[in-house]
Amino acid sequence: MTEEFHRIRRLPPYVFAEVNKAKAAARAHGEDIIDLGMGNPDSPTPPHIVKKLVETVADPRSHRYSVSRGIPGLRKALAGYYERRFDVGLDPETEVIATLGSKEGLANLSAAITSPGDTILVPNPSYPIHQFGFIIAGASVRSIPATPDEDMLRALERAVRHSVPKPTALIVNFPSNPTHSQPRSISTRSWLLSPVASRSGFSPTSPIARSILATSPRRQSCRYQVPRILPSNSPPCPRPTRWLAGAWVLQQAIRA
Amino acid sequence: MAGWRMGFAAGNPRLIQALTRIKSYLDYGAFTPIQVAAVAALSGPQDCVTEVREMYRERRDVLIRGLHAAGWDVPSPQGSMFAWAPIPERFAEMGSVDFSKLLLKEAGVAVAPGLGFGEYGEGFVRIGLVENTQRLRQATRAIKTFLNKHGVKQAEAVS
Repeated sequence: MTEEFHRIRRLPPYVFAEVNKAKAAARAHGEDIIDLGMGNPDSPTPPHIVKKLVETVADPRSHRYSVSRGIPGLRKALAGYYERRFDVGLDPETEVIATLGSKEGLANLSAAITSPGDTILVPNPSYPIHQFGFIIAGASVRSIPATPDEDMLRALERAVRHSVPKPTALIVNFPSNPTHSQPRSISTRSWLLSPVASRSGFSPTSPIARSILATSPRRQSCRYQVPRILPSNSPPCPRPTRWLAGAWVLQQAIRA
Repeated sequence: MAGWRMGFAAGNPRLIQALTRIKSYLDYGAFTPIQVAAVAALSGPQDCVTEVREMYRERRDVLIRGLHAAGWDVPSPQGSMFAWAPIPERFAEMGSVDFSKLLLKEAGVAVAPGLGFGEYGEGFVRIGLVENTQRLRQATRAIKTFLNKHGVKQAEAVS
């Protein structure tokens, strides 16, 4: 058999690889390349965090297998952070999980919630795993043009109206990577608060979503029972978790 | 901590439970010392957050000012650590991958081609604020020379 595996055929060659190859070649020739291509932060981790890591690693008990969903202290610390920062209460037992960075979490969540053939709406351009997590999981991805000059609101409405079956999830990412759009500045925000969104099951009923999206929270009922997802690989303004960790936020319980 | 690979998800318990179940089959979680250090990051002093934010703001301003002076009108990002730059008119036809390669070859500056983020990313490049202000100034000077050579008009005044 020479044919590629089913999933591999759905993963196009990494576009960035081409530029990376040229970059490596130039460096091999001794050229000074200023690399602004990868989003790889250059600044060191603050010393008090490194100190804590070093202290803990010196204790052999820390070398054993850890806890998949995160040690209780970390889940509590995350809930505490959301309480202080967003005034949002989270149950560390049921509403918080630690992940191995945001890519891993999003990829495994996609696998966990997707049935083959599901339609998922993903802004385009977007960070690759936002769509490829679902593609790997066997979903059909419908792109929502998210360029600054596109009317994302209209594109979303069209996608919801014409997708069969109705979309199972919508990926939202603020500030967007790569376009740095903010929920306050683009039409997605108004769409997520609109009756169309509500009819499609995408209403922002979560306190987290509300704190990010709306100044006047409102509850809306949903006609379809669909998981509503509001991931964000960083909070809405340049804040610590951007470098601390990929953070993303899922909307709260499905209300029918 | 970017390379430490520590993240989280929060919210919808049904989704969190699904993710918890699938992950319980796949991994034993991040190395404990990293999780403990993440607790220190979340619960400890937050001064470093302000410092990091200021650092990125300064870098952003240096980059955007430099690019404007070079004749490249790039919108100033209001968040994230990236600028999203429309390819200058002069190079529009070549597409983001070839433009990125040309910029690398002639200016010594690597950027991420917009096409890598999906078909609607074509026509743009993503520029990361991942070098210090001195290096960013060096980059914008090189870009200025590059654009000048290709006949892109430079801005007369820099605000």
